[in-house]
Amino acid sequence: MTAHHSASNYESWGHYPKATHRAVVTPSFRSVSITLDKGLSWLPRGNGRSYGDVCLNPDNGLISSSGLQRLISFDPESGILHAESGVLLSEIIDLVVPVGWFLPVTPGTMFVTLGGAIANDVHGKNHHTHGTFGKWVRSIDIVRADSGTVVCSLSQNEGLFRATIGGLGLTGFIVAAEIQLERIESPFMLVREKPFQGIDEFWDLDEAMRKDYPYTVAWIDCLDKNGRGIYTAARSCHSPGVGSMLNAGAPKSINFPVAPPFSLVNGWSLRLFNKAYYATHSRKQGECMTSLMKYHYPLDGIKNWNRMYGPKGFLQYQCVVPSKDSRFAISELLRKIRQSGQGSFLAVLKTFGDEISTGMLSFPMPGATLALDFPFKGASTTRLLDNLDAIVSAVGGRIYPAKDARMSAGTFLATYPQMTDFTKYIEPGFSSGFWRRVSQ
Amino acid sequence: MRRVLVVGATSAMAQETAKILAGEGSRFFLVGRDKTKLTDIAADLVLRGGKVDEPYAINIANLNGHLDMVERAFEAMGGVDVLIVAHGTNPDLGWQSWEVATETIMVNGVSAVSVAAAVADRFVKQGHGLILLISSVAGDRGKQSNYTYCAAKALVSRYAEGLRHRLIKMKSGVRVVDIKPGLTDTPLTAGLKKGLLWVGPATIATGIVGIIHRYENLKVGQYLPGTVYLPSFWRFVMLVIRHIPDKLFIKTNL
Repeated sequence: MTAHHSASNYESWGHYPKATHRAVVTPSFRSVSITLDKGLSWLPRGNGRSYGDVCLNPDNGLISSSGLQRLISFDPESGILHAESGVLLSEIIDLVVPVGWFLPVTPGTMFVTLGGAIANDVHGKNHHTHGTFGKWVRSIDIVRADSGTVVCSLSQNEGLFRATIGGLGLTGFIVAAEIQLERIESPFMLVREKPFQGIDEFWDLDEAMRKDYPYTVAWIDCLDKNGRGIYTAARSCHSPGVGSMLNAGAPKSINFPVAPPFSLVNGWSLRLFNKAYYATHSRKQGECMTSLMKYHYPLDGIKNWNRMYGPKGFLQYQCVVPSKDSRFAISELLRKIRQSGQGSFLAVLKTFGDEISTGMLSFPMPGATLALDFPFKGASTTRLLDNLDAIVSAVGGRIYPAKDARMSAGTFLATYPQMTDFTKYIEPGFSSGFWRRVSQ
Repeated sequence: MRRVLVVGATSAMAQETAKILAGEGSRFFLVGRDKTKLTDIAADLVLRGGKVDEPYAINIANLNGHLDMVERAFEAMGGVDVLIVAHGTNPDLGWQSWEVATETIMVNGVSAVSVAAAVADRFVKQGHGLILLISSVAGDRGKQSNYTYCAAKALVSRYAEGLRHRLIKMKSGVRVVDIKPGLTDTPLTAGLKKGLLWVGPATIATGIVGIIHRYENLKVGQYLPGTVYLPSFWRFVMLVIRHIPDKLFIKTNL
């Protein structure tokens, strides 16, 4: 059975840009063939947690994976899981953590679908030791109009496999995938926080910490002229007692029921937040134990946190700059942001590992990545981000499509030269708001 | 372990309900039209903690197959504790031809009653059991847009109402609940414009599981209502709709 839903409100997580869709098709079983209206272009859609327009297909159609939420098989010995593409990472976690497994790579929210995690080739705080999500994908079942369901992997249809990982849903409709999970000995993490006074100190700290800790990330106060911040490193806690894992502190859930009429994120609240965050976190020393869930998904405890930016929404900005120019480029970026007076609660800085991703269009590269969000204030915001783009492309870096809503076609082509190769794997009739923006 | 017979197991509401029940460690006998789909669902339920017997494929409009199907379910699981009747079709809105009218009444109305009657016989002998019939708010008033569907669901609701009364008077230990979901975003309602009142099948499923829990913890002499609207605000919406005077009602496009 294939459901043809009338297109109600399908937004992106950043509430920007706004889009309306003409049709939404929701296949309810993976064995069922789909018929798509030839007059429209189509884009697979997961849970809509990407920030910009990779999950939007304005004035065209969406193929929702919300009818494909079944687990297919799981081997608790080998940790190999086969599941349909609409299954949320949170469901996988519920299933596997009690028996001592976890996602080898996880983004900062568990409310993304398996298909979405693959299509955006998401990464986490352990990129320097574990690479991207795509590295742990053993095979993908993908539906294409000309050939039906195709299974692809590194040993079978390798080109399609590499194009589909990080392929933004454009290479066909992912219906299922097989992934390798990672053993954990407890549902707890040991976390170490260390304040640093300025960005130079960050680099030395990072150099030392990333050798000892698989998870590293830093928060930067982008209003401070030295770029002070808090460095957080974490590792899995090797305590016994896997049996009592399940309820180890799933975050309590609170909700932003409606969007306030204006953004709660402004100059005043930012300064206040950053001061308070620095003050509370710089006091902690040594390793603290925390639950796996609280460590990985702090924001999942606040439902619809994106609403705090008000009706205009917000822009996420995440870029990576290559290792050799990291220090210079990151300082430049932070300087530009500070000068603009715009910025976010959390500017996040992390160094990636040296591994090259499986995915053709994957975002991570050896270097440093900076992520921030900006309340959308119109032209002044886009102008600032264009300036940041210029710095990023000048040093050979790139922007993360999953978080982007505004980079120019010129910037995309210059920073993702692989796009020319990628184009031949695009399923005819598939497109997205993002793709039309960056390819025309 | 709770033993659940699910008729119409491939329906979105049934699937979501079964997922939750599987997590609580239930055993299932799944009935539907398509064996492949039932097998997909069975694999999922097993991984979520359920136990699932060999799925049973049947065209539910074929009433003659019902007794055999019910017998197989009781045999396979050594009895049944909960019956969920969730199958259904939703014809296109508008004029309902003879073919559409008879098929709609047969599949959504008569066949649901048939399954419930077959299971009720056995539940009475067994001395316990919970019959959950998923009807619809549509059964509360006949309306021009989908009147055969309304009629079929009304048949199910009236049957559930009377059967429940009978089983209570008999002190049979068997319970019946008529579940009336409101507008729900499922494959059956594809193509309809979705507004504020719509909810997803997972919301309905949470409500259904709540009913099962309440009945499982029922104390002797305790009263529980036999009709449950899901979500509950539909009780008030339908109260209003039922009381719109005919003279006005026939002018609406409902």
